[in-house]
Amino acid sequence: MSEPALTIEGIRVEYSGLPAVQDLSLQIFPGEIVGLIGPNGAGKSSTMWAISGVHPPTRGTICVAGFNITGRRPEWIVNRGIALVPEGRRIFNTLTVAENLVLGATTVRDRTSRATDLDDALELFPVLRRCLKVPAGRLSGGEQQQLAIARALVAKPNILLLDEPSLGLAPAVIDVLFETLQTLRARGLALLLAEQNAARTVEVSDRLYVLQGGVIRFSGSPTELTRDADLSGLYLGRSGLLS
Amino acid sequence: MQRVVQIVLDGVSLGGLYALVTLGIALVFGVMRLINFAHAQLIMTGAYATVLLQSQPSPVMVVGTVLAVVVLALAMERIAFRPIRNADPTTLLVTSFALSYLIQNVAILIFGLPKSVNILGQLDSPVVIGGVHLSGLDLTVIGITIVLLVGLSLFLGRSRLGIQMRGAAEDFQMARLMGVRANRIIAVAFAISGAFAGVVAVLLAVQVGVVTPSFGVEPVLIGFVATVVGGMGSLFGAAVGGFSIGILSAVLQSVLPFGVVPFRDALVFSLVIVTLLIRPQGLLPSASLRERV
Repeated sequence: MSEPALTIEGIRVEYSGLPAVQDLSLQIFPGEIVGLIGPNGAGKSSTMWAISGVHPPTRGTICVAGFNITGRRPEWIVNRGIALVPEGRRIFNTLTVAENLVLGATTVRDRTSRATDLDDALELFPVLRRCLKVPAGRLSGGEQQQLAIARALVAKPNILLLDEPSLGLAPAVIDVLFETLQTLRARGLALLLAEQNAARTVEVSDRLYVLQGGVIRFSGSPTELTRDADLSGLYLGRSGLLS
Repeated sequence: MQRVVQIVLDGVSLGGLYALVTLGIALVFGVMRLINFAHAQLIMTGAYATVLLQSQPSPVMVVGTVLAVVVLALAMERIAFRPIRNADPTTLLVTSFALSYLIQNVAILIFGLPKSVNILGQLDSPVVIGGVHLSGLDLTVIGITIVLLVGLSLFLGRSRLGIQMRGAAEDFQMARLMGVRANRIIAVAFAISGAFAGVVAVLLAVQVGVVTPSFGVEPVLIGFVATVVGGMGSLFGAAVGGFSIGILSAVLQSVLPFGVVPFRDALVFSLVIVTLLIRPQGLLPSASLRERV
């Protein structure tokens, strides 16, 4: 296997002294989807915020392709090829779709490259091409989610962090979303997918981490997870979704 | 009809000045959620710069004043606000108060007595257009306001930096996650805010003719009110708030009976209170006032 795109070793994330994530270690390789599943409050979003530099860990290290990015500013980290699609989408409602994408490409200096990346993103999400001049706040939930991912992609990341991307979306839209994630994997991106929708995450992920109370309870392949009676019962239902 | 046009133009002139003040305040508030009380001292510093530069040719005096205020605004951001940027909003507020008093007292120490300023005298001559009497200064204020508002709109709407600034004003944390450099965008906001304060300083200095250490306090207080009326965090709202209060003041100045005119500002602020009771979020509030990290 190639070098890991992202390596996290023993991080601890705290809020007001209380641990949200403890001793978490994980790796993501280029061209794979790694699922991070767990209940609400398990520490999934805290892990995402820690990687992206918004809330740095108090202990442990985060490395991107060999570079230690622990404690760096968010604007520096995005320059190292990490883009975050946060929970709740957090698109810029008052800006148009086109302006959201311009903002997403802040770190791309080359004008030609920016235009190509924008075309690529719009090819992946053709619905956005039709509403480039529309304020993003007027888009539907599904369209906003597509914009949030497109906005992250125009930054040309090697690692894409997705925090609850399916939250609040209709099942048909979720299908399209997860298909897109598989397309991005095929393009060589490393994807870290934090989801409460465990069943769908297990379907698309190459490897999985199960978080509970800020601690990793399981790491392995989807098949191994289904063999763990306790966890698969807890997260995938007794019927064993993958069986 | 002439009277109505006269009142409107007077209002637009006064409102334009207020709009420049409110935009200066709102730009900084937008990206930093800081209500900068020291904005008044930026205007005061600009006014003293006009005093010092009044013997120079007008373009040198204007550019020199604006540059002096921009440099002070940038120094203010770098020295006083950047180290505490992530602190509690109350800390930011208290710091801006402290800075405001510090600069004011430095001005008292250096300049002491009020200084007269006699610049751009040609603007005092009246201009009559279709029976409407306007001073050259009123026309200049309207012209400069239009140029600066159009310039700011183009900058915010067309340039990448402007889009980054609007994004940062809506969701600063998310803008940083897009790669927008916090230091740079905040410094640019302070620089533009300073430039606007510099322009206001020159215009007010021409209008008032005397500069004291409390110069700029009154328009900035009205500017804060106008910012709240327009909607905190909204640049468009800030401009609308500034113009609204200016036009309202001009209308009341003209229609109130002579004996009641001294109470004009009390009436203006009563109407502000009524507006905020009806629309507590302001006339055109910002779409988002997210907490930043």
